[in-house]
Amino acid sequence: MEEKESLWNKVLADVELALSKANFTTWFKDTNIVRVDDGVVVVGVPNAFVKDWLFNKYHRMILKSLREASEHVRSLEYTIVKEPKKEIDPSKKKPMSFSAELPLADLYINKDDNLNPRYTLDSFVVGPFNELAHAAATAIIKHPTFYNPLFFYGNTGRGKTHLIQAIGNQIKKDSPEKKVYYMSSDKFYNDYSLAMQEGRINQFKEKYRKYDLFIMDDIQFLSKKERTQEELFHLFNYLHENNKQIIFSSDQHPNYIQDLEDRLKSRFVSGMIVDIPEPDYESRAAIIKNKSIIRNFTLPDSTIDYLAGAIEGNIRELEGALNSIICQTELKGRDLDLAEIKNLIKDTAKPVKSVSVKDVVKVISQFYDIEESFISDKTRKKEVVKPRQIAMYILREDYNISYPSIGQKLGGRDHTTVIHSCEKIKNDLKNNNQLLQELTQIRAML
Amino acid sequence: MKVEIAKEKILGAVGHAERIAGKHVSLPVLSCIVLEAKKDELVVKATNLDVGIEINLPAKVLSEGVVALSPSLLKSFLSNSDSEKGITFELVEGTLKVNAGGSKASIKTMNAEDFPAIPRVVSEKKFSLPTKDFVTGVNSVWYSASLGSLKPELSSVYIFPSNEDLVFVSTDSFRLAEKRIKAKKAKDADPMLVPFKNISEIARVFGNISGDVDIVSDKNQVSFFVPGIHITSRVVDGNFPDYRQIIPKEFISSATVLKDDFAKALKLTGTFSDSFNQLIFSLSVSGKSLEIKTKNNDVGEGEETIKGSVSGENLTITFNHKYISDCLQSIDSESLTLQFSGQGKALVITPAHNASFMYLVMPMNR
Repeated sequence: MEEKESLWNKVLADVELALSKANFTTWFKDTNIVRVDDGVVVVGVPNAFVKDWLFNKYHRMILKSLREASEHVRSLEYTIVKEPKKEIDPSKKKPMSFSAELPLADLYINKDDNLNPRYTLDSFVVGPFNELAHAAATAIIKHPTFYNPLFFYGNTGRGKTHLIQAIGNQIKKDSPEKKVYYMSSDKFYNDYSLAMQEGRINQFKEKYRKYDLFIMDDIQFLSKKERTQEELFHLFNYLHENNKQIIFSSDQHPNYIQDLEDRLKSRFVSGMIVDIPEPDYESRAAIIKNKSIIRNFTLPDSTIDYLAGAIEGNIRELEGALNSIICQTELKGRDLDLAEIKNLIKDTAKPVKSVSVKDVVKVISQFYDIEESFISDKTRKKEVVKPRQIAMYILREDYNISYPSIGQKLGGRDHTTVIHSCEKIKNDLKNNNQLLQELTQIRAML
Repeated sequence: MKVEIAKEKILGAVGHAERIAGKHVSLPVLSCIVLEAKKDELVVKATNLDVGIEINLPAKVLSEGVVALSPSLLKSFLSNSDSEKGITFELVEGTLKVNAGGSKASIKTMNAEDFPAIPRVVSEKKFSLPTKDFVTGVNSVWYSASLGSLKPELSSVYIFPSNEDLVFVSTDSFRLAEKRIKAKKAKDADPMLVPFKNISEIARVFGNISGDVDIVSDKNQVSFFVPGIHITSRVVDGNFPDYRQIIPKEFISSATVLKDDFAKALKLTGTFSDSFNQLIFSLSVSGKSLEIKTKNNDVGEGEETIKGSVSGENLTITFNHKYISDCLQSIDSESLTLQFSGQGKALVITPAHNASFMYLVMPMNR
C-alpha cells in the first residue's frame, strides 16, 4: 500500500515540474497506482478522456519517471476507477419536494448477480421456527459446500427468498472474487426456451457454469417442464462436480413436488434439506418490531401484540399490514387506535375457522378421489377407511368438534371409533411423511 | 490554416460545440472549441471531459492547420455578420481572421496542442436505430431525472432493450417517465445509464438529423455516431432500480380528457400556484368531469372543470403542479388518460390508446 503511494508521489513530483499547473491538475488529479503486477504498473484514472490523454501524451514521461523510481517497472497500463461513493449526510437530505416518494430504495438489484442488497443476514429475524435454517445458512457461509446442495422448503412468505439471497450477499461480501448468481426457476425456464428458439443452447450452458455459488428460487415451478429439468440436471452435475455451492428453495419437500424427475429429486435430497415451518407468535412479534424499526416507525406494544396474534403464518401479510398502518398514519397525521387497526387489516387477519362437516368430507373425498357418501358408509375398504379416519382427525384437531358428534355425523358411528381413528392418525403421523404431506395439502384446501 | 465554409454549417456546429465546451475547468483550453482544417473538411471539437463532440464539415481547405478559440465570441460574431454565403477563416500569427462578406473579425486564439482527443468507443456492443426515434426516446423522459448529484443513477436516463423495444426511463423518485421505442435492431444492446445532462445535449444536437444513429458502448462510455458527427459520453456505473415493480396494477378511478383542455387548465391554474406548487384534482364520476384547482392564500385561487370520460370512485387528491405539467411535452395524442390508484398512491398518466409512454407521479404528502 505505502509503497505504491510513495512510488506514484515520486512520479507526480517529476511530472509536475514538466507541465503547466493547469495541465497537471486537469490530467493528474485523482490518479493513483491501483496495483503493481509483476512489473506492470496499473494506474487508475477517473475517466476515459484522462485515460486516452495520458496514454497519447504523457505515457513515455510517466514510464520513464516510474523506471527511475523503481527498477522493477516493466510496463504501464491505465484503468478507469469509478469515483468512491459520496457519503450521504442524512441531515443534508432536504425535503425539497413535499411529494410522496416512490419506494425505489428497495428495488436496486445488482445486475451481475441478480441479488437484492436489501436482503441481508442482519435484517433476517431468527426465531425458534427458523433457527435451523439460519444455522444451515451460517454453516454454508463459513464453509462453502459443507452442505451441497442446501435445500430450503416452506410455504410462501416464510422468508426463504430473504435467507437465500442473504447467503449470496454475505458470501459476496466475505469473498468479493466469488461469482454469485441468484435466479428463480421461472427465469431459468424462460432463458432456456429463448436459447432454444434462437439456437444458442451452448451459450446458455456456458452462462451458468461459471458461478461459484448458484441459487435457484422456487424450484417447484419446474414441475412438468421436462427439458428444463434435464438442463438443470446437467448444470447441477457440473457445478457439484466442480465443488461449487448450490442452493435451492421450494414451497415443499422435493419428494412431493409433482412431475419432477426422480434423478433431480435424488440429487436435491443428497445434501441438506431444511424445513422453514410457520413462525410462532414470539417470532411474529419480533418480525413486526424489526420491520417497523427498519422503516423508522414506532408501533405501540399493544399493536404489535395484536398484529402478531391476528395474522398467522405469512410474513408477507405481516409486512402488508404494517405498510397499510404506516400509510394510514402518515395520511391522518396521528397514531391509529386499535379499533382502526383492526378495521384496516380485517381482510388479512385470520378468519375464525368455521367449516361445515359436509365441506370437510367433500374436500377429503375429492382429494382421495372417492365418492362422498363412502365416508359415511359402513364399508371397510382400505381406500375408504383412511380418508374417513383423516376426516375424523381433522374435524377433531382443527375444528374441535366433540367425538360423539363427529361419530354421529359420519354415519352414526360410536364415539370410541372416532377416538381410535384420531389416535391412529396421530400415531401414523409420527413416522409417515407422506401422510403428513397429504394432511398439509388437505388443510390448505380447507 | 486557411479555409472557406458555408455560414449556416459552421454556425450550427459552433452552436452545438459551445454548449458542450467546459464551463468551469482548470485547463483554459477546455473552455475553447477547436477548429481543425484537414484535407477537404473542417473539424469542430469540444469537450468538458464528461462528454465530447466532434463535427466534420465539408469545406474548401486552402491550407491545413488547427486552432483553439472561445466559442461564444465566434458564435456571436457569426450570427450577427451580414454574409449570406461563405465565411473564410485564416490564421495569421496566432490570430484568427474571420471574413464574412462585409463583416470582419480578428479573434485571439490559444494553442490547440493541449486539447485532448475525443474518444471513440470501440466495442462489440453496437446497435443502431433511426435518429428521430432516439431523440424522441430521450426527450420523452430526461426531464424526470434527478437534478441532484447524490444518486448518479437517478441523474441519468436508463436505456435498455425489452422484447422488441428500446426503453428509455428517468426518475427523480417523485415521478417517473418511461418511453418505449420500437427498435428490433437494439435487441442485444447492453443496458446503460447516461447522465441526463449529456444525453439531453446529444438529443439536441441530433434534433434535425435524419437517418440512423449508431450507438457503441463499453462499461465506461458510449459513443453516438451519425454521418459527420460523433459524440462520446461517460456512462454511470450503477444500477437502476427495478422500477417495474412499483407501477400500480390496480386503479380505483380513471379519467380520459382532451390533451388541449388539460394543458389549458394547467396553464390557467398555474397562475395561482402556491409556494408548494399544490394542484388539486377532484374527480366527479356523476358529473363526468375533472376539476383542477390551485389556491394561494396571498393571491387568490383559480379552477377549471374539464369534461371527459370518468369512471370509478370520486376522489380528491393533490399533486405538484410542475410534475403534472412536465409530462405534457411527451404526449402527442389528442387525449390522455389519468389513472388513480388511490389516496397517497401513484397516478399514472398515459396517452389514450397508446402504451408507448407512461408517466408515474406521486401525490403530495398532505
